[in-house]
Amino acid sequence: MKYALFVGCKIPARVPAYEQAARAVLGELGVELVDLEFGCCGYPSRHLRLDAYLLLAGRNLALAGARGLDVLTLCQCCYGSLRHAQHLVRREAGLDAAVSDGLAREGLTLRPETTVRHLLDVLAREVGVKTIEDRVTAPQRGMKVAAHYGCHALRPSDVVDLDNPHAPTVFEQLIAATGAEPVDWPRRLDCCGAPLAERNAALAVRMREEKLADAREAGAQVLCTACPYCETQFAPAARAAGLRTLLYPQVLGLALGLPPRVLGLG
Amino acid sequence: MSVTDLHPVALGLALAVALAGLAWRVGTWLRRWVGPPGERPPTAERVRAAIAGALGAPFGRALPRLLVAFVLDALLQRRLWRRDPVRWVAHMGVFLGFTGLLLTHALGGVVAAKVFHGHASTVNPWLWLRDLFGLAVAVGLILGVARRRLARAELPVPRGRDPLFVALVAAIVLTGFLLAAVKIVSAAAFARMVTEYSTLSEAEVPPLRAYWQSEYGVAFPPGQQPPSLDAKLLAAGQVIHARACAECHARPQSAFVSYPVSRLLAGVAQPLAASQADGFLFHLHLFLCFLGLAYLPFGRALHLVSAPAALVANAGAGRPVTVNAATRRALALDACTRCGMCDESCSVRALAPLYGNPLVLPAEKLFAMRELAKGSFVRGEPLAELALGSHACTDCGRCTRGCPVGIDLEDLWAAGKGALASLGEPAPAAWVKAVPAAAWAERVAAAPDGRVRIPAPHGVMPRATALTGEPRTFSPCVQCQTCTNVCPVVALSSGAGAVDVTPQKVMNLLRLGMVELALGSRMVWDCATCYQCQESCPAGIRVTEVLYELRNLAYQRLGTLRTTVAGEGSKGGAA
Repeated sequence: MKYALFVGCKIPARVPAYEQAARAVLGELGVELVDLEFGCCGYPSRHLRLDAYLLLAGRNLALAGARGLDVLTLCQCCYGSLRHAQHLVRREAGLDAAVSDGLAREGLTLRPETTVRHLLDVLAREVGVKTIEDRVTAPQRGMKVAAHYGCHALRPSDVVDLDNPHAPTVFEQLIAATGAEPVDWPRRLDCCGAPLAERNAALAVRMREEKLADAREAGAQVLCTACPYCETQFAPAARAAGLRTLLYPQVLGLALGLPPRVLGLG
Repeated sequence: MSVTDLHPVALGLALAVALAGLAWRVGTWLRRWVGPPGERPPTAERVRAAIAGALGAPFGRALPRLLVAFVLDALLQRRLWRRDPVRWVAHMGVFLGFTGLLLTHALGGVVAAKVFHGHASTVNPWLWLRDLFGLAVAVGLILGVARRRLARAELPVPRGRDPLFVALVAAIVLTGFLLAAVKIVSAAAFARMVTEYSTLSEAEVPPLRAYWQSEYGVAFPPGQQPPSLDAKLLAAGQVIHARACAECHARPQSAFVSYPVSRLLAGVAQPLAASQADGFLFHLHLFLCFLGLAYLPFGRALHLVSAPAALVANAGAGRPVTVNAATRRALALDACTRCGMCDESCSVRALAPLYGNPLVLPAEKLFAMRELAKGSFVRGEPLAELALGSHACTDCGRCTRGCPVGIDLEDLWAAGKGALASLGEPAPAAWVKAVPAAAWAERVAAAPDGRVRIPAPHGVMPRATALTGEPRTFSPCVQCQTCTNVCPVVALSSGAGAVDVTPQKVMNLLRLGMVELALGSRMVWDCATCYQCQESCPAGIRVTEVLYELRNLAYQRLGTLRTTVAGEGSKGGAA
């Protein structure tokens, strides 16, 4: 298993612990990571200019494709963004020409066939839930965890394919594999509100508070995320709601017996 | 009055200009402001805080951090070494070479002579050190320029690179080597030394000349030529040399660059002597040095002061929100060396050529913000370009992490966005939402070019992506309201900023051909892109994609109508 690791913009700047923990657990589970000169996934530009979005996304697909590598993203918005660009370029004749012109400036060739996968997908399907269970040496028994899926890993389901968009189970399976207890909470598939943080801050806060209250009510102690947008949205308010946030590779890393330090935990 | 008499005058003048320039620069660091005008701290408060910070630094707990920043980051350029060893070699060649020349050569009598007993420019190690330092500068400059030529062609060379600075340094080193070479072959220099430093008799000079012609490379004119270079005469010369010269003048071959150059000049030694080339080169060399000194605060050489200042100030920065943050920001604008490494690492640099807007690139953006802070920024179009560049930034922080002089570029970008917002250039979502959807629709209708052109945003997208212009996109809608019912924005938005139309109503507007009314709607601009509507639609309508596309259309079409719309914040005013 070898992937080009796509950390995106937010993780190194805002959630470096996510990258640290992900590298640690993936290394532990025998997943090899390659670092390429990736740029922005294009997600922030998509609101304003489709051509800008496709160029940025296409550039990353081109870089990984040129090396014959599949892309592994940690961010669900990057995942959705890259997958969507692929989807559009593959389906719409003419789009590839518009992107290719921009890529040619850097001597790159569009590679829409490049496979893009999210961390949760690689862990559940390539490494395997069973393997993870077998590797767990420090089961996180008694930890009640609310799995926050994140929108762009599930929807739109004709573009991304982490799991069934209406009744996913993969995140709960991955949490159960660490010995922790996944809780069922009604709002688990709702949006965290992060995309609205800059456009409508008050609304973003309301969306966050609704979810935190719901997770708490369901008996969760930990809100588990696998996306830097979700994590930065919840982290500052979790404590006040009686919760703490953990990124999935941090939970997994603890269960694998890795020291908290290498997982970016205190 | 000879030219030499002018040297102290020129030096004094250059020093005065340099000091006055530096004082003016420091003044701008305490005055200039990047950020919303309303948040500008008073200058007096900044001066007080800066003085308190600077005076407190040697006694604070941050002192070790400051020293590390000064030695490792400023002097030894640790960040540059990690980032690009080739550029580090080039930089250190120029920096260490020039510093070496300054301390042991230019200020040799003042600095080196105080530290080392028996310092003289004509003895080793000083003789060969001078060439070593000069060579280091030359190699550094050549490496730097060559690297730039071979660098990625897709990025523009950052503005404000100041070729004059590089040219001055190169000219100083070049004239230095030439001067040394000309002096090696100069018979006049030989005669001067004999007069000044020895008490030789008339008869002792010819053997010494023979020895110096043979061993020291002096080219004597026909009248002074030794009769022959036979062994006996040379042996006599050597004895005189050993007694009178050797102690104070090492063999010029130690000057391993100047000596080979002097061999090239030996053939033209007489014309050089006749035209007093050594005097000319001497004055030129010195005046170039004075010029460089006077130029220090005004060009790229300023980074010798501003970059260490920025590195140390940032290392000492405790709380992020202090009045000193304003000063650090102003200092950062001058600390930038225009190296362009931020451009290379920028996550969205591919957008610069696509937008035809270099202000997407960090180094260009910093340059423009410096103009803005100076107050010399041209209003109107450049401001819109700076806004486009600023809002394309994804805050990934790679520019900051890779900056060799440790500029907190993210802080600068955030401050810049604040300044732009108060100048009437907030983020697109803000200026769209500042005007009600119906008012936008009226503006579109009243515009000379009329209705919104659908589809094809920016002219490159074929119809298949242009969902808004394709009736089959929304014609299956049966107005069941599932999209509205699952929308978290509809469920949670309330008060004055509540959504005006629901997703289902947006589909209805499109069916009725009233796209203009949808463009500025809150539903379109407050969409969280969670895709619940699209995933849940029983008719399979790509609701979220349509909302994305409407934002694209609105950005393009409403952007052209912005200036005619009142109430979105005033344009103009000082930054």
